[in-house]
Amino acid sequence: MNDIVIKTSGLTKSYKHTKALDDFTISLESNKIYGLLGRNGAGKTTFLNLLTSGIFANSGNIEIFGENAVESEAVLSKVCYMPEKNMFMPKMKVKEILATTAEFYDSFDKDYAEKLCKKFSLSKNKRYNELSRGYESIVRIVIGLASRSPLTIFDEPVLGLDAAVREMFYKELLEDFMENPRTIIISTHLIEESADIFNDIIIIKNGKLISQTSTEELKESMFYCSGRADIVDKALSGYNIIHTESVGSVKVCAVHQKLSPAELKTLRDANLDISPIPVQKLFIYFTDNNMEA
Amino acid sequence: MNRLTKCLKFELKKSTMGMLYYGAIFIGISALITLFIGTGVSSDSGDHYASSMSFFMPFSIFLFISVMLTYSYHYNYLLMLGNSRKNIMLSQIMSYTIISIGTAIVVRLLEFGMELLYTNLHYQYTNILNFVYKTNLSLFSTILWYFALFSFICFFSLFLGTLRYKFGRMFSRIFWVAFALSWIVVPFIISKLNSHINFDLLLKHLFGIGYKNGIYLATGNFLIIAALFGIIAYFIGIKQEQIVPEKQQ
Repeated sequence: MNDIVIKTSGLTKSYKHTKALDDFTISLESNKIYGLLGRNGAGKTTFLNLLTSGIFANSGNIEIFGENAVESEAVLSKVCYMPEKNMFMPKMKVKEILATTAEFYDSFDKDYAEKLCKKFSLSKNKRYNELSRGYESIVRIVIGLASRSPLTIFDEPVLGLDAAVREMFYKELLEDFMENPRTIIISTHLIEESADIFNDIIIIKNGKLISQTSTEELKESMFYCSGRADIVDKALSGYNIIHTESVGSVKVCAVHQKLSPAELKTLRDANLDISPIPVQKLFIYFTDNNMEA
Repeated sequence: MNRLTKCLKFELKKSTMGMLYYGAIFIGISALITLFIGTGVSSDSGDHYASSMSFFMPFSIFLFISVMLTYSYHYNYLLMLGNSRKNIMLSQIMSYTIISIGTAIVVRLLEFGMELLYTNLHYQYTNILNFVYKTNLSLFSTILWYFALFSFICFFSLFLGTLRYKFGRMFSRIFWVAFALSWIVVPFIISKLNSHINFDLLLKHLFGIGYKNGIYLATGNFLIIAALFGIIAYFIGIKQEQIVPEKQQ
């Protein structure tokens, strides 16, 4: 088992009458890529801002690298957080931003940053406020990757990027991660295309942790079962059905249950079609307000 | 290099670049005013006088505006780069102290240059501080006075910057409305309160006018007020949660 990098317990954060994070307890291991998923307003950014001391919790503890992380420079110097919101100084040139960042992160790899700028066609002489939304994201990507921080966090890193550049980012991230393993957290709404890079997926709903599991386990925890409605109903009696759709006489059920080989055989023998559920659909079922976690 | 030093280096670099850029514009404008329009005046006796007001006023205004407006950008950027609030606020306080010293020296040097120029143009040059304190002041005391004044302006502006960050647009609205109203309301309040509080005396104490070595009294007063604003700004800054200014979103 890997070392624990992040450990939070009973983390709660409220804004006026809204609980953005509610008794949030989680442990994250070193050298893994985590996908942080949740619907809008679920508490993802609040969680990331708490980890990086951007905001303060009402209650609870945060330990990063075994130390209390709140306002700890020893911890924060090992964390690179590229938030979704714009925290850059608008008049700064990209090259100035990279130079400043290199001063604050001892592990920053300037040559790699240079290589990434070329790869993503990022002009270093442009001022930040002259960049398009996509290139703003690229600046964040370059800094996040080149910082080589032991804990790197991206909040919506691919906003405004076209499909080809997003693909380049995922590829680059994986390649760099293989060469320089570290803990990376990525919060994203583009689930389907990014799911394969995650080792583990964390799902937050209404400020609460509802699932933390490996991507493979998550995929195996649900399946579609389809066939003639009467056969489906009979075969799935006793299973945890979380979603049902009917098209004519055909019924499709999403089932939240890991199948044993024997169970799989029984269902197939009953002339039912069993197929995996795409991660995006899993996420929707998990975070459906009508579904009890 | 520890992170406080890194923050200080960043603050000094950004502020000095701003100072050089805008300072050059102000110097140019104020030099023009001084030379052709503003402070060269003729007395009844026919002598020509000039004062140094036009130099420290633009610098003061520039410092006041730039410190207040850039606070949120510096604060957010340094927070994002993994610095503690304590170091960010300390580096701001240290950098504005250094900038105040630098600005005081620059302004005094510019005045010295203008003094030479005016003397050659046959003006009777009057340094505003010599005029106010009615004595020939030493170079050290005037630099100290300017340092105290610029510190006061920087820390008052830093304090306003922390409030602007905390309260966002609401603060800006209240500030500008209050600023506009103050031109009408303050004289009225002063005239009403004059029977209870002697404002003239208060200002004389603050500026040390009429005192022997009054310039040092004024310097001390400015520094005490500056320190108070600096301390309040520090405590607001270290307790502040990160906010993204609406303009930055």
